[in-house]
Amino acid sequence: MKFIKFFYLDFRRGMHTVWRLYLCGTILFALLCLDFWNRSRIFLELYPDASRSLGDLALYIFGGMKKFIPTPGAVFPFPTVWLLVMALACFSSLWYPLEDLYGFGKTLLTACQSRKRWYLAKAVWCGVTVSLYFLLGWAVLLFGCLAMGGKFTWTISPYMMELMEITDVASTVEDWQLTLQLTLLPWLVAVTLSQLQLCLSLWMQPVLGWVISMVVLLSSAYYASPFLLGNYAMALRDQQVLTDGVIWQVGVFYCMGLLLLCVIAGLISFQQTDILGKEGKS
Amino acid sequence: MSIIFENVTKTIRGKTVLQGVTLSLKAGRVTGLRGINGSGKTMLLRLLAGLIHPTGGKITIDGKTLGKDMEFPPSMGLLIENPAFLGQYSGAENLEMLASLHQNVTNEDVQALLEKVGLAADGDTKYRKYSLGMKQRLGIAGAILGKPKLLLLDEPTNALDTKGVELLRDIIGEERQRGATVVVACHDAAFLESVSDEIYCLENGQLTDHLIFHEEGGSEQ
Repeated sequence: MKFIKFFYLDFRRGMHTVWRLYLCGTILFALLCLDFWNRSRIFLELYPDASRSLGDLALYIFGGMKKFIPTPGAVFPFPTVWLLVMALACFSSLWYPLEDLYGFGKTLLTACQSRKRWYLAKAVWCGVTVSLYFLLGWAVLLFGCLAMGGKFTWTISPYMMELMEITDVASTVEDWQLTLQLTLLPWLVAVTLSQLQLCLSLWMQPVLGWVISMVVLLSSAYYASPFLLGNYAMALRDQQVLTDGVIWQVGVFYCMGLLLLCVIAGLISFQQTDILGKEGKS
Repeated sequence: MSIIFENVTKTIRGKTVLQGVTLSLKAGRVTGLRGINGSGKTMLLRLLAGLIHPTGGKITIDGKTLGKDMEFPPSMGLLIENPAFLGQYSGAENLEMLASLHQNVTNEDVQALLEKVGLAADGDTKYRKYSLGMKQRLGIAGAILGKPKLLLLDEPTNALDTKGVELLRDIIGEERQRGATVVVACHDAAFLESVSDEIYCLENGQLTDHLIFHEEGGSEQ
């Protein structure tokens, strides 16, 4: 019961600090919808039977980038859209936990008599914050699809593949698997990175944890490796799309395992963490 | 609540901030900690609060080791560094949030507390609009919320006017009467001597003197 009370207080207080980031997220998703609408207009003009779908829009935002093969003269096509969305997701849960510990949260920590409870409440808060970010994003995408007259299907149109320069798509991409790739995996990867950031913030400034998340994501964009977490957040790296791509089921287990490891490591570490004032933080 | 520091040492990033501190704290007594800035008073309070862990030695509370048998002292009220409340909520709402984690504190108790610290008229004002003195009063209210058995006050006279200091003196006296173990860290020697039963003096992280003003049992020295 105390944990639920504690988490409720966290939720109330944390939302006060995060609403501005949610606003930025909403604007970002809206701008990306607009960008997609603008880019896909040409296909509608060129091909009479072309149409937009929710799947097209989602692939544009969460698809990531194709596998990059460095060759002389090849320029790395920076996955701006995907990276912006994931970066803001990771950033949304960054500051509140440690800021709270230096302030009102310190009083609450001693009142609730449990470091484990504090850390678990923060871990849950990070997960909820990232989840709400994605929920908001999807709400904007649904509205955006509706506004541009798109179909509410997950089927990717050949025009979208042309737009994203996808040439080696598997002949059958099951809709339900694509749905999972576009909805579940980016969210799960972001939640996992938020837990990694929370754990790392016990030893370093939170912003450095975010930088590490960005390094993971950028490295994943550059190297199509199943060991780099970010690959699972890119639908274009899945084996349904890319012949030697990553397997989304492996991604789910990888994320869950890493998430659990971060929470356990954080719980153990926080038991021994000295809670000094802001002046004591390196 | 009987508290014993046994040869407690604390090192932070290679710097020894407390060395070989041995002292005891008893229920129903006010113990003062005196020393200049950087002498180790706040670190000692942080150790006692369970916020940091000793590098050497141990702290026992009623025979149980802090950090091993318990994470934090049971039933503790704390005012360390500046009061930390949430600016977007009123003074009353901040205390109510704290009260929600205590089983025996009602909203009526919160109102009574606000009156006790002289903030009854400002209970519904947003905390961010409070003056420094008002923030300090709310911090004191937060520390005595729930009638804790252990009360730790770090520089509680900061930003308080004369009336506020008198109020604080009365509150500390009431807490002592109630049987709480009270520890007050303050560089204001006159105030400390007026409220304390005994004072430990700290210098460079070491205890340098122990002054007893009132023996246990009530006789004055």
